[in-house]
Amino acid sequence: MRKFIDLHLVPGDTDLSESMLNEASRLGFTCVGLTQDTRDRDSHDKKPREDSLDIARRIDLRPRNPNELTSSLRRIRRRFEIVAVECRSKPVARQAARDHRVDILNFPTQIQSRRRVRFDRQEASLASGTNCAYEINLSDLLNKGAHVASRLLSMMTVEVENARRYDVPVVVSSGADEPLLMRGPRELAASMQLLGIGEEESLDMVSDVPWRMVERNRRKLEPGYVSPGVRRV
Amino acid sequence: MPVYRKRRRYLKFWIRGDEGFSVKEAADAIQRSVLSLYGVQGLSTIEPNLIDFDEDSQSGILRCNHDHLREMRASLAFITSIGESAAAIHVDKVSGTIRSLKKGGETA
Repeated sequence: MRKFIDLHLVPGDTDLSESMLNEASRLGFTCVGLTQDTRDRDSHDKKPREDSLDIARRIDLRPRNPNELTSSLRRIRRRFEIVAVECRSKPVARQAARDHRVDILNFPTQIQSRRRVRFDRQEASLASGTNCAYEINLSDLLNKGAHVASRLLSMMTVEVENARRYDVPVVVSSGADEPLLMRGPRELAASMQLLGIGEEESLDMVSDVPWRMVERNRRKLEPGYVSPGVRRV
Repeated sequence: MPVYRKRRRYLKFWIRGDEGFSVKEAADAIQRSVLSLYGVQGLSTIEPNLIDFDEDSQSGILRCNHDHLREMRASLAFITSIGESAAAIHVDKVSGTIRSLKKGGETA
């Protein structure tokens, strides 16, 4: 049986995060990536939940330049299970795709900005070397007019093609900042049909692909980890 | 002589929203979402049909064409409002018959 993961929940405050976690459990997710601030002191992960929902700590970095990105990564990498970078400029996008410490690449949702910074072939080629994933947030497509949504869909279709061409993992998340924007795992997967992605592949994008990423990073964060396959005993 | 019988899928769903919605509002929202994502041709092939809706529990049963279940799910995922207020529709279970759905059909 598949374990479904919504790797991107962005609750603004603690009350909202509790209701979003309850909703995630009700929708059938086994694990969620809860976006936290660098100042947040692990409010959720220490407490065991009754519904046994697994919570992965995630941070979304929004660096203005490559130097800011590398210094942020140095500070926070060992504190979070998932590190995502919102690529606002091309130099940041290139640096993020090159860096092994980055797990997920995000791109702007505004059409004008997306034309400048997108997941093109060069970006995909760099990301394939570092096992960095390309993320699609369904919330980027919701509540948009038909014109904007259609443009975004066509851009995302090309980006998914680039990811496939270079074997870059693709992750589908809700990107929800409120419970009403959350969707069930099979609904998230079904929406990928709009980008020309098949059923099994899209189900992997909400289950196996993000799950592998979380497990890999948890192993790295364990004490005694040296490098892949090597542990200090 | 063999008779062509349409295969269907039945989806048990529930609505999450700030207020309660009527049958008509729910049916309109579903139809509008299919229409905006897949157009008139999509609407004719997906064949969404609200079979049952309980206004108290805000849950119901929706029927669609067996071959277009993914399109139906995607259309439901894209619903962000019903009438004037924000809402979301979530699928609980999917089954090939209403009877097994009511008994507790499997998630498909």
